[in-house]
Parts: sequence; structure tokens; C-alpha cells
Amino acid sequence: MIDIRISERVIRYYVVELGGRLDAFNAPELRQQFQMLLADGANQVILDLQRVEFMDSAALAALISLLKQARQGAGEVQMIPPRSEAARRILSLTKFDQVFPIIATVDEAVKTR
Amino acid sequence: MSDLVMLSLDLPASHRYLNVLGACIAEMLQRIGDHPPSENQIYELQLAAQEVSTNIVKHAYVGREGRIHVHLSYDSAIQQFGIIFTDTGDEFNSYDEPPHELVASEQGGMGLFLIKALVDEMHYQRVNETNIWRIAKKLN
Repeated sequence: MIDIRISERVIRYYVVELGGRLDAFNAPELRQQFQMLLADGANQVILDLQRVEFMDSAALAALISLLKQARQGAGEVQMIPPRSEAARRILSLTKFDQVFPIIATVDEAVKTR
Repeated sequence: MSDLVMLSLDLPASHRYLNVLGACIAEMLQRIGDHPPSENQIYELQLAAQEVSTNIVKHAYVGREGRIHVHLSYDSAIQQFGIIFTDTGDEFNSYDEPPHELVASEQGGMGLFLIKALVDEMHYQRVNETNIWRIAKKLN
């Protein structure tokens, strides 16, 4: 008789697509949305920032807060960077591209886990 | 002889309307004739201005309304764009030397770090109950 156990593991990814301007004005709402996501049990998040045109430090702080909380729950937040070269440069300047795992597509996020 | 272009704005000290400043900076820079700046340079000036004005909103007028006067200037002789922010709010007491390098996990200090990294000059002074921030960036 073979000794075999079969179990199903399902990893649920939450893809958060952001666009336009993220700044001190809408950063509180962004944080609130992230809190709701985490309260729903999300801990594998993909931040798709391709359509983001502008981010300030308040927005960046909200992203970092999401990352910290997800990692405290043994989760991860991966990032698809903005298409805007200028916005990507700020992520490099603040070393966000070294703190967040950077991916090119949502499919890549799934393949790397 | 320098060709000095100047433009002034008077904004409410509210996060809601700081996007207006960024739009004015971009529009003004796009009309500079001989040496139009790159998209990166425009973005960097917009972000630096956003960070300075956010600091003013956050620290100068806690719990009350106020105004931010912004003076934009471009000197074509030295290809330098300058912005002066004045407000009559509380003195900015958190003006320590920003970190030279920022670890992405640090939330505090990121605004000042970005301003310093994005422009060539940054000065703050308090004169007669008025806060004066000045930033400048060479566009050559």
C-alpha cells in the first residue's frame, strides 16, 4: 500500500491597479483601501502601478505601510512599476525598487511563488 | 542681460489644491523657448514643489486655515528655475539635515530627502513671522 497524501494549496493574489496622481490629498484614502484589503485577509498583493503618473512621499509611505503589514502576516507585496520613466526614477532614488520585489506582469508574480 | 520670467500663485494651504501648483510648473516650463526641459526635469520640479508645499500644509497651519504664496521664476541666462514659498504659519521646526541616503522603510524624512535629491538648492528661513522656502534647479 503506497504512503501518499494529497492536499490542495491555493494562493490567492490580490491585484491592486492604481493610476493617475497619488499624493498627500488622496493618500489617506489609499491607506484606507489597503486596510480594507488586509482586513479581508489579503496577504499576497500585486501592486500594478503602470498607469501611475505621479507619486509623492505620502503615497510612497502608504505603499511601504502596506508592504510592512503584509510581511507581518507572512505575506508579500510585489510591484509592477510605473510606465513613466520619471516616476520609476523616484522609486529608484528612494530604493523602493530594492525593497519591493519588482515584476513586469501579473503572470510573473504567480510563476515566482 | 537675463530674460527673467516670473509667475505668482496664491493657494489655500490644503492638500486638495496642491496639484494646481504642479500643473502651473509644467505649463510654464513647456513655454521656455530655447531649451525646453526634459519630462524628468519637469517631474522632479513638480515633486520637489509638492513636497515643500505638503510640509507647509502639514506643519505651518495645524488646525487652522492659511495661504501659501508661491513665486515661480525662470532665468534663461543661467537656465535656472526657482520657486519661493512663503507662508505666515508656525515656524518649521523639523528642518534637520535630511538623510543623504534613504532606506525605503523610513517613512519620516522622505519628503525632505526627496527635495534635497531633486533640486540643486534648498533653503529655509524664518523672517518676521514668515516662513520662506526657496528651491532652485538648473535645467542645462
